[in-house]
Amino acid sequence: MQVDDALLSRLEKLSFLKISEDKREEIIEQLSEIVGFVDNLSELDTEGVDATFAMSDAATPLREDTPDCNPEIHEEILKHAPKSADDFFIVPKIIE
Amino acid sequence: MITLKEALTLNKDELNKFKDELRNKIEANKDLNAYIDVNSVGEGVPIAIKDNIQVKDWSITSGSKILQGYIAPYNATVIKKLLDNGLSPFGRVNMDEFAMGSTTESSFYGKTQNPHASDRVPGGSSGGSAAAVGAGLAIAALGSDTGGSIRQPAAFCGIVGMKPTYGRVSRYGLGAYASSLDQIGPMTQNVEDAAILYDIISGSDEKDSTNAGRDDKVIPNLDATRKLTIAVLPKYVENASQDIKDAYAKAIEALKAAGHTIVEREMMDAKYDISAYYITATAEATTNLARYDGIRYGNRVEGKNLEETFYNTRSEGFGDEVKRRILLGNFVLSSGYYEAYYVKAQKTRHIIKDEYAKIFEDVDLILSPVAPTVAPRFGELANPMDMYLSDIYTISVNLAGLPALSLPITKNSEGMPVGLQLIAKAYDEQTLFDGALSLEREVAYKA
Amino acid sequence: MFEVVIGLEVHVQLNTKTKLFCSCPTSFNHKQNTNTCPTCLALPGALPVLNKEVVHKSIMLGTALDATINRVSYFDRKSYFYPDSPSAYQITQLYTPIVEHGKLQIDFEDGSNKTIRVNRAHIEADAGKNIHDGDISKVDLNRAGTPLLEIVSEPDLRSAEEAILYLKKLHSIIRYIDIGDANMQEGSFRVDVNVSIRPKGDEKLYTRVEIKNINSFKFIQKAIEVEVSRQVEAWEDGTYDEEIVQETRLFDQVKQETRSMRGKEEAADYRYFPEPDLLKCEVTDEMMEKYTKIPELPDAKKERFVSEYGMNQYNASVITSSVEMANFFETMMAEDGVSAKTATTWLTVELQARLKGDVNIMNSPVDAKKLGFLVKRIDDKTISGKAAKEVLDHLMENEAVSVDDAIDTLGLKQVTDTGAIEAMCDEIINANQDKVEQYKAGKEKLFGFFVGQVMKASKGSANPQAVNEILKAKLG
Repeated sequence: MQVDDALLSRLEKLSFLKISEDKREEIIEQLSEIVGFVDNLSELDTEGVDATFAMSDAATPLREDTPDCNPEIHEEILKHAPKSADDFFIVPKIIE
Repeated sequence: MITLKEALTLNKDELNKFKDELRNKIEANKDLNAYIDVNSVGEGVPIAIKDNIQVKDWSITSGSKILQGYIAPYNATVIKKLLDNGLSPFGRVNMDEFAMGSTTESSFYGKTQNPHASDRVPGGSSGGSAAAVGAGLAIAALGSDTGGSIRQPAAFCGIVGMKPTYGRVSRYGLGAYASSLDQIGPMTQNVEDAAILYDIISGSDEKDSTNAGRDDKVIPNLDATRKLTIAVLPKYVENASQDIKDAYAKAIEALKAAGHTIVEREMMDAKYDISAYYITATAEATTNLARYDGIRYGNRVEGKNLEETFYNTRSEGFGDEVKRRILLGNFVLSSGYYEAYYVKAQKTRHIIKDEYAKIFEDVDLILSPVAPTVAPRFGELANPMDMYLSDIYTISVNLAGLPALSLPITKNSEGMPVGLQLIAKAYDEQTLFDGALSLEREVAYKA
Repeated sequence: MFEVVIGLEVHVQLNTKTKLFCSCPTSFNHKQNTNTCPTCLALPGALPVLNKEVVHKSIMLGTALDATINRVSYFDRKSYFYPDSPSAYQITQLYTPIVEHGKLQIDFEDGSNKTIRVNRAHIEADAGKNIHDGDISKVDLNRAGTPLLEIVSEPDLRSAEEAILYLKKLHSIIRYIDIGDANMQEGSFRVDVNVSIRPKGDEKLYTRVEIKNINSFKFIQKAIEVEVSRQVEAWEDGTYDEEIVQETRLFDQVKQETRSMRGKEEAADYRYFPEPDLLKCEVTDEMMEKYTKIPELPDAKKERFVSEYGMNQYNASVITSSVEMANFFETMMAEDGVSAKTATTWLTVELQARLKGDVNIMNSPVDAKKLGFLVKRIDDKTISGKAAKEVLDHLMENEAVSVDDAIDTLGLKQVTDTGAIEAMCDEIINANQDKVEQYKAGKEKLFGFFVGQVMKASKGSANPQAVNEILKAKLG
């Protein structure tokens, strides 16, 4: 499986990362090496093996529908937020 | 350095005096760079906390630039447990950024030195925890282990590091790296201290849906005299350095001398473990780290519009290794590749888990190396693939969710510690600690 | 000739007290970001824990739709970046939803009906809110993490009319079993429409276009119509392949057309994978027993109203179209001496006409008990129907006044005493002998004149039926 610049661009978009020009080739090489390595799993016979893995067979715990909110949390987060005003998180405009 | 067991008998005044002295010691050893900063909560026995475990009102940044400015508004469950049991979070210790790494070189706060050699790494990702304990700058520390991040630095720094069975310790408040692999664990000077700390932090927690809900403790029945059947893996060790091979042989002799039965077993080629790990961990990590967008907390790098803000914040806020794993994670999850990579990796986990289960049918513990060499020098593992391959002994344990403990066996000719690990069945921490205690007493390692 | 193929996805906000994966309150109208916690703020180290009531309400919906309740279902992560999605992934159920293979019956005006299959209903978390304000956006995460049930129909609908019938029925069911407010304007009942066309007789499914964010039944109908026109036009012009692509469009209420949402196609790789922070959702036998108990559904209630109250299908439909109205009716009927026929008229015609603007059946100054009592007074002939209208008007303006007090205040007590009526009739007859002659001679229409005069003399309080009978007897 080869990683090329087109694939890197697609992955950058999904990751919201911009890899600088001078690092692109190196990253492509590294990712190629890694992907090439993990391809070794195709050597394993996994016929009939469960496609999902969980540590235990237990069911997810269910929580009672009882409100319990600690106001300190949002107060502290808003206080230290990069940009907040009137208890909103402020972000630059979204281009629709 | 006083042990945890001893420290728990000190009174408030003695502890305060101790902490003042410790602060001075830490200050005097700034070059080690094990500690990022030293704050204290409560009046109990000081425990160093890895920078990815939430302590209320502390700056908790997972060793990353992107979380600079974030102040944790809540305590992780393990921190609550510390506070309820006479322990005190004391100092934030260094780590690889977002726990992704094996050397602590990727931290925003710079590298940490190995206490035994200033030109060598302490290991990672819990390098700060291991170095602090190894240098006598902490009684004990909490670390986290996703692919070996407690056990490997413990081995490199000559201390004890233990990873509980997945689900034994609550992950609530642990900045997530790989949700199905992460566990918080104790890093201590000796096995008994690890058992004490393990008992305190483990147990049910309704805030963590993946928690196993088990509250049994190991200390009450801790028994180093139990005679166990222990499997060794001769083929496995073949690829390790001579230092490791020698330590392995020594440990086998020690176990025999202690009256345990040694049997030989084999496991499949670890190269599949590495693949299954890096696919699973990066897939989970890429989504766990997607929340770091500079909107609600942390370091935002503003752009002309929202999209640019996302790109700038993340591109500037994350280091190279984290970026690599985020890209890789999105690769293995993206349409067209999901079946071949992510699904295949989960199937492989079953094979690995079954393989261990088969061995454990008639064996109590497995003795295994932790790393292929002693602590490497800075920069030696710069190539990512080389770094990933160094995880070969620790990784399958996380994939199968088993408990394991790394303890120091000997030192090599350069004085560098060599550690080995014992692996137990799921939820069988009792046997793990019993066997480890026995081995520790037999080898009588001198720090 | 073309056939229209429509599938509907409805997101229903569940009315649990807390969010889906954390204990933050779901109550609205709170200051921005006050109902938040580490989990719905997506702080480092936060984890989700499933709300039991969400499972309960999902199973109720599944039961109401006659669907399969999956005893084991799973959660998945769906990744996308947006400020209203704090963790940048939504926890949803892609691979194995909790409810599958249900059905819903729609009833046409001509009495026929059609069964629409429901493919699935799955649990997922809602996002927060972005408020655009010039150069910036303000993010409020109070709503983030609110539980949603996404209900997806099979593409069985063949017209805008059918789509609206389906939505209204689904809406009614949700209100009947009370799992959500289902208020389109407030956003607790959100409809996405999938529309495609095909030549009549063709079995294939062609390009499907999704239309999002339409918040009224009227606009949904219009949106479907204009979109179908667009697709048909493209087909007939031979430009179908270029113009009609699988995409998401918005309905422009002003221009009455659909338009493309820019740039959505690119972000479509949601990279679904099983949610590692949650274990499987298991429905125990105990849960099945408890959670499949639901209140009477609209169709059953309608049939019961027909048989129990002797109502016709049409009225039964109208009254059971909303659970509030159905309950209102039954509360009225709980008063003894109330006939279903009178009650039906007074609810669906008289009260309905007086409910305007913000005044509705839930906050009407005349509640069910009071209206029932008013009907009782009509049925026991204390007042005439005509007088009752006046009484009702008065009661609507004076909430604290009782029915009997209103009747007294307005002096509208009906005179049923035949003696008194006879006396009044005699008076009118004596005063209008000429008209009596004309009437007897064959001018039948004059009967109304006499009735009118007696009613006038009694200031409207004479029982019209009695007046009629007595006059008939006297005039021959």
